[in-house]
Amino acid sequence: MPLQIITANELCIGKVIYLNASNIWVDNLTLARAYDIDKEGIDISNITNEVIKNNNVIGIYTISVRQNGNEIIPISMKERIRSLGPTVTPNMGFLPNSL
Amino acid sequence: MYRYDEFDNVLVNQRLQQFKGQVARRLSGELTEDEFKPLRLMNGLYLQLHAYMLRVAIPYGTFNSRQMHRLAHIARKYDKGYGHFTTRQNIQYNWPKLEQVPDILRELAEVEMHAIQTSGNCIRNTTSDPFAGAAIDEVEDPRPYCEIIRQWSSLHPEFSYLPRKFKIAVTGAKNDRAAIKLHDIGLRLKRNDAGELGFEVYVGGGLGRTPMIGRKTRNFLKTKDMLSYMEAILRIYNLIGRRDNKYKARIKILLHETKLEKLTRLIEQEWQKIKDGDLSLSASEIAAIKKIFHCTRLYHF
Repeated sequence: MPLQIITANELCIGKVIYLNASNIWVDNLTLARAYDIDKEGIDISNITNEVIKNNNVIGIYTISVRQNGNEIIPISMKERIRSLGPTVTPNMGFLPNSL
Repeated sequence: MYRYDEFDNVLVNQRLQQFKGQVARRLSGELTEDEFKPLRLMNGLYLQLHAYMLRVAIPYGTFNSRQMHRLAHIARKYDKGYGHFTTRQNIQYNWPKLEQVPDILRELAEVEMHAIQTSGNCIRNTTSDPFAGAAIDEVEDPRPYCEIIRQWSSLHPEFSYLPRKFKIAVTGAKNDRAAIKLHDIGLRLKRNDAGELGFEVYVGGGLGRTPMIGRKTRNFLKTKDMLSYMEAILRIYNLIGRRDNKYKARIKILLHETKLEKLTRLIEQEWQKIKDGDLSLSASEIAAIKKIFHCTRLYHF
């Protein structure tokens, strides 16, 4: 099974966010925690059920990613675009900042 | 151009107050996202790939300079300084903040605009020819009929939970700049041999993942029958349109599956029951709506 990352949108502004290793939401994909389900034997639904109690996020789900050195790359094109911002021009989206 | 009457004002302001309360309850955690989602969609607020998106209706693509200024002001104050005018004559703001959406809707209401029925499975903003009222090739200005449709379809209780979204376009010209055959219902104003004004009616057009060209269900429909005939179409669609699969739920699929002859017959049967009822438009009612369009300095897009 590919590496998994937990993602959502921030409630107030809808910004794309990812869960990091400290269970804190960040808007930079490279800072996200990638779960190796096969190796770690983690039930990722337990984590999502826990963080869903946080009212400040919406639409929690997991995405499949691959690691290329320090880089995390979503497998689906949709999630790659979602992580990088609008394709029209690079500065049209939210600029990544740690929340 | 159209002006809100007392009903429009009350309706829009009531909805604004309701949504303001709903946003506050969502932000405080009183409402879950599952509870809030249908409420925000009823007010044109989507969550898209990168952020929220608010879609604002511009009825039949006509607005005045005050409204244009307000749209620009909203883009500057609440968004990133721009908005996206859509092919179906709405404007979309792509970066609104949830807590500010009630303020945006208040600013819109002040200039007689709103985002009601710009999303969800209901009758959407009626579109028209961008040159409506000024086109050399038009039989008659289609905007009064669009306005009649707007009044009929706004919060129509029977058609608030259709199988899928429903889009209507009206043109008064032979050159179809409103793309009427790509709408769930397309109306083209025409005159019959006796010189009477009426409509050619197309049903079941659409784009999306299954593009289809609308088919003609009536060659001539008198203007007085416009609403009753559309009500009959909507009733049949509401009754037998699929609800089990959103990709098969548009009226274009129903037409494709039912076939034109049978669907037309069902619509006609339903229409016969209601055609001389309350929805029959009198000449004076149509004339009263036409009167409010006798004004220049409007913007079309």
